[in-house]
Order: sequence, then C-alpha cells, then structure tokens
Amino acid sequence: MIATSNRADMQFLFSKLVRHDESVPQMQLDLPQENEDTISLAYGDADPALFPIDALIGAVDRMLTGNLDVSLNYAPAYAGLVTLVQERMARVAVPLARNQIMLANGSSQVLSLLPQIFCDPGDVIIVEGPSFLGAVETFVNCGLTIETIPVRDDGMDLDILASTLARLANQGIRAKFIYTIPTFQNPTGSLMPLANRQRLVGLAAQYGVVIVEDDAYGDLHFDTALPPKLMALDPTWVLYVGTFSKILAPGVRMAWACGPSEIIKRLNRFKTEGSNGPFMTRLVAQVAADGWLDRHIAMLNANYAQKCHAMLTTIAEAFPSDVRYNKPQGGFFVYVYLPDDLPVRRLLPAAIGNGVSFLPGTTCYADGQGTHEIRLAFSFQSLEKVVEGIRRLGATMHQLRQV
Amino acid sequence: MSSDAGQLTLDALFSTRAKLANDGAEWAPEPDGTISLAYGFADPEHFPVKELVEATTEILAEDVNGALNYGPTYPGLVKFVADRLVARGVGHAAPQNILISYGSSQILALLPQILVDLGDTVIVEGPCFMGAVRSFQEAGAKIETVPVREDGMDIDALEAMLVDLTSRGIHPKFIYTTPTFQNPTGTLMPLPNRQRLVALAAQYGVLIVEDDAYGDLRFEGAALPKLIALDTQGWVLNVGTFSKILAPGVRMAWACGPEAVIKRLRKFKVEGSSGPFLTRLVERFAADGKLDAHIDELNANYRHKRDVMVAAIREHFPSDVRYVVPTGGFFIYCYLPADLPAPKVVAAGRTHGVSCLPGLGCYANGQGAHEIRLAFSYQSIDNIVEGIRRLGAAMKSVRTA
Repeated sequence: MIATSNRADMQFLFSKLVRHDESVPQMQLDLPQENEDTISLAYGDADPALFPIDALIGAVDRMLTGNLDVSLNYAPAYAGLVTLVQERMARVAVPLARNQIMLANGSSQVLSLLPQIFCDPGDVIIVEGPSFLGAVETFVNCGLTIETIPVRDDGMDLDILASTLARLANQGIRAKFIYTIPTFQNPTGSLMPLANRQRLVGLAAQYGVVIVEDDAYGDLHFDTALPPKLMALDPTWVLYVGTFSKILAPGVRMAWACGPSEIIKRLNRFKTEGSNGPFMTRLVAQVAADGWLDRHIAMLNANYAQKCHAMLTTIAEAFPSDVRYNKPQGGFFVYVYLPDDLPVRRLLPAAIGNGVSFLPGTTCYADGQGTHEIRLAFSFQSLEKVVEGIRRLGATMHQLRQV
Repeated sequence: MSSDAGQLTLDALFSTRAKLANDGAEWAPEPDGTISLAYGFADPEHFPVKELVEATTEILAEDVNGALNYGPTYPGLVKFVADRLVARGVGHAAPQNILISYGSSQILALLPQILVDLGDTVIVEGPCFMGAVRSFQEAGAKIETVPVREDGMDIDALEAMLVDLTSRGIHPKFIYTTPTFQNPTGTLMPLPNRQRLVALAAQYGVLIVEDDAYGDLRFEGAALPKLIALDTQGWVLNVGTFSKILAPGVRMAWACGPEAVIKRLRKFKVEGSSGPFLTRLVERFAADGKLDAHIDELNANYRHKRDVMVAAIREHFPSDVRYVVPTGGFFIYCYLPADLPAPKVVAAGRTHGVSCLPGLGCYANGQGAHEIRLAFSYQSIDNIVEGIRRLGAAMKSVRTA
C-alpha cells in the first residue's frame, strides 16, 4: 500500500499538547500603539543610561583571557554564578543547597514553566489582580482556571485569599500555586507588611499550596527597610524567583528560581535547552564579582528614587485632584486609579494624541478588570521625559473633562 | 474547613507530565591524564576570542538599549541566518520560517513536544547522535532505526520501513537524519539519495529533521545541497548551530522549515527571545563575511587534525579495523573485528589512558557492540597521535589477553 499525502496532512503530525494549546482562547493584549515622538511610560524597561557598558566589556575581556574550555566549549553553567545566588539568598532569606537553585533564561522562563510542571488542564491557580502582565498572559493562555485576589495598598488582600482557599477546599479543589509579588508589586508598587507575609505563608502551609514569590524588584528600594522575604519566613512551600534583569540588564536574560529541590528538579527537566551555558553565566558572575553588583544596585536605587520622586511630584501638580495613586518606596511603577469619567478607553487615545502613553490596567488582570487603572513606569525615561510625560498626561486628563 | 497539613504533600501538586519525567543523566568525568577522544568538543585553540571582545564593544557602543534592555531576538541575526541559507540554495528561507534557539539541543527537545504523543513512531539513523534520540524517547516516542552505510542512511531500508509501517497503519511523525558529515559516522549522503529521501518524506507525509550541525565543516569536495534546499513541498526542517563554527558555549542555533512547524516551536519555546545581547553579539561576530573567514580557518585546522588521526590509525591500529575517512565533521568511526568488542577496547583504553565513545552509545536499539567513535576535533595534534597510539596498544592488549 502506498500512502499519498499533501501539505494539508501536516496537521496530522502535531501532538495533543499542540492541539490543546491551540484550543485555548488567547488573551488579547490591548497595548498602546506608540510612535517615535511618544514619551512611553508604558513599559518597565531599565534605564539605558545606567547600563554598565565598561563593566560588561571588561568582564568579557577577562573571561576570555582565562580557560576557554570552561567559557566557550560544551560546558555546564558556571558553578560560581550558583554560588553567588546562594550567597545572596543566604543574606536575604535562607541558606540553600545547589540542587535547590536553577538558573534560567529570564524569570519569564520560570513563570512559563510553572504551568507545565504543576498544572493539568482545568487546574486552579491564584494570582493577584492586578499583576505582572507577562505572567497573567502566560497563565491565561495555558487555559488554567485563575482565581484573582485583589491588591490593596499593602499588597494582596489576605482576607479574600483566605476565603478563596476555604471555598476551594470546600469544593474539593486544591489550588496549585499562588503567584505573588510581595515587594514593590508590578504594577501597583505595593509592599506587603511583615504581618501579612506571615499570614500568607501560614495559609500556604495550611492548604498545601505553593507560593511563587516573584522578587524581581526586591533589591530596588529607595529609603525604606524591607520586611523579610516570604522564603525567609517559611521556605517549605515557597518557590522564589529572582532576576538580574533589573539589577544588571534585562538583555542578558539571566534569572534564577530557588526552593524545594523537588520543584527545581522538575523545572530543570522541562527547561528544554538544558543549562544556561557557560558563556553568559560566567559573564554575569564576572561582572557581579567582588561587591560590584551591590555598588551598582546602590547607584541604580539613587537614580530610580530620583525619577520616582519627580514623577510623584509632577503628578501632584499636573493630575486632577480626584485621581488616586500609590506612592511606592521601590520598584519601577506608579499605579493610578482614575475617576469614573476618565476611563482608560477615553484617556489612552487622547494621551497618545498628546505624545504620551501608559499601560492600561486591563492588561494586568486575568478577568478584564482595570478599566479605570493605569500603570506609569518611571524606570525607562530620563528624568526630564518623566516630568514632561506626566505633564502631557495631566493636561490630557484636564482636556477630556472640558469636552 | 481546615485541612490537615500533615497530609498535604508537595508531590501531589505536580502535573501528570511532570510526574512522568525521569531524572536527567550527567556526564561522567574522566580521570586526570586520560586523553579523551570521546566527545565532539570544539578546538579551544581556535575560538575567536579577539573578535568576540570586539563584537561586545561594538554592540554596546552602537545601541546599548537594544542590546541590554528587554527586547526580541535580534532581527539582524534572523536575517543573517536567512540570507546565509538562501545563498546555500534554500530559496524559501525567510524570517517567518526561522527560529533562533539556545543551542540545537533546544530544538531537538522541543520537537517531541510539538510532534510526539505517547507511542508515536520516530525514525532515526543507527548509529546517530543519541542526545537527540533520548529527548524523543523521554517524550514517549517509539524509535525505529534505519542503518547508516558508507553513504549515509540506507534509503532502501528506509523505504521498506515506511512501506511496512504504512501497511500496519502507523504514520511516523518524523525522520531524524544528519546527512552531512554524520555524527558519529562522518558519512556524507550523496545527491541522488538526498533527492530520494526528500521525495519519500513528501510521499509518506513525514517530516524530515535535518540536523546540519557539521554542514559547514567541509574539508574537501564540492558542497552538496542541503535536504531543505531540495524540498519543494515543505517537509524538511533544517537545524543549524553556531556551536561548531563559533563556540558551543554561546548556545546559539536555529531551525528553518515549514512555517506550520516553526510557529509551534516558537510557541513552545516558552522563554521567548534568545536574548538581545547574545543574538546581537553572534550577529556582529558573524556579519560581513567574518564567519565564513573563520570557518575557512577552522576547516584548515580540522582537516589537518583528521589527517593526523588517520595517519596515526594506519600506524597503530590492527589492520583489520575498518573505518571511512570522513571529508568533514568532527569524527572518525571505526568498525572493530569480531575479537575486539567495543566494551573491552574501551575498558583497555581506560587503563592505557585514552577514552572513546563506544558504538553502543550511538544506537537506540542496542547495536554497535563492535564500533567506536573517535573525535579529532578537540585534542591537540600531539594528543591525537598519542591517544591513537594508546588506543592501538589497548586493542593489541585485548587480542593478546
């Protein structure tokens, strides 16, 4: 028997994973269409003026005058970078064994692997609302059932989390994980106080749910003492995700996950490319060595604090007085709650017409909330542009009211 | 209702797929003083160090925001790969059917995710690169092995297998082949066989995965068209890498092929881009003919090392050890006589201070008991000569034992 085929048959070749993936409705992200003259306050990019160019060139130069077999040949990820992560985590949380740490190509890689290792179709996870749009999009697009817990000025609302966990337990449902950014949350900038952190890890242990502690902004604090990491309070159920994106550069794509070795083992198995490779891991470790990273973080914080202050001061002057916003003590963002007559769908096109853009709150929710919320990033633009952008946005708000 | 924490185990939280996954294997280190001819590492004497430092300096001077902030895989690298494939006869190579990845092993690990359900059939060469086959097996693929002859995969055997599978109602998902300087045999599939292979894939509706890791490492003879260059109906996925022509440690590779396949690979490559910094660095190193000049230098070096290894084999191995002199790639593959089983030769080699890869490690079906792979890529000229001398002595010791 001779088989015959044509290109249409290729559909047959794809796996059940692909067919499931393509059956899930994908989140439609309504991102602002910017042009060259727009001052974009939409994205949490790092400040390019603060990138350590000389330090990176010096590090490449130094590592390539050493043993090339360990930096350029087939070789594992550099053990010294894992040691550096161990030292940092011991300082801010708990001592960790090497098999409790996985290096990743950006923390978004870790977040994307979470549904693969924890979730079968229909499983329930818990996220904050609003939250990091990349994580929300990933979880929605996997077809997970998402419970959204509101975020207050002091972070996730733990009363609602507790009642949600109780309701799920009554239904015989055990949520797989709680995704939270307790420190300078994206997008709200909120900081969860110690008592809430203790209650959160207690709830996770009570209900047997993993906490994914996304600590992307954990080092970016301006002049406030930080409460302990969730992992420091009780590491049993905490998977911590850290990144070099904000403290070195997003473009090097270097992050880590750490926590129970059973989780790390599975993350490693589903990380298709294997190790992060010797070159980039040595480069990052080489740059960070000898206290350089801590000095760099101090410099970053001085700059970001200044831009945050400028944004808040200009908002106070330029926005209508009934616009509410948080006053973050760290991170990259100011989050704004708009009055009823200024919905995002009116504000955004007018703002772009006036040469400024922002992130609509709706992109930060899995369930379509956020129609009167916007995220403003002070991280990327220069101080002058931050001020000018906020003035344009304030003027836009006043214009819309006069119509 | 309050739950009893004592009964809540972490293991219960994992997905079905995660519960099924095995532990990964690790490479065993070799004792000090051993000359390893086992692994296909690149020659550390020929890494383009100065060029990488220069490229780093340039990309950071020109567009530091592009290189270091959030961003996609550098479109310039995608274009570079597309242009290079077009120049090698792949007329349909274009950015939308190319995916840049962290090493070709990432592509080979993503393929079963998008193509293989438990029990599906995948066809591989025997011997072949088992790193790839293991990722197919872990996804639950049933592996069928087609023998490799002196001119690559036995296409008659492949056709008979396709006929047989079809008659049993089995539709294999893909054929994994390394037609150019195959790992481990070093063989080069001639043009008529390539044409026949591509036609069979279209006839039976099976994807060909063309692992082209060694495609640029040609020491002599004219270049043969890649399978993907012969593919008019869209059944070939070409997998290429910068590992052998730049450096394995940068972990940068690509797949080019049918958009329907690339689209899914892109979706399942969950981390998104392969890094703005790294992709810009590789593009800058490679651009403006610099990569091709570097490849010329590499080929002169590897050709010489092959010649040295062949001469040493002639001098030191028993005359009834068979091998084919490869015209490219990293390896010489040896067929041992009946009284020299590979496990014994490998064990004797270890006591003589030399290592090589036993053929058993290159087959999915337990063959290869009288075969070994020797890599001439990594060791220095002196070590190649000494390593082969030791291995020849080891073979003689097995015979006289």
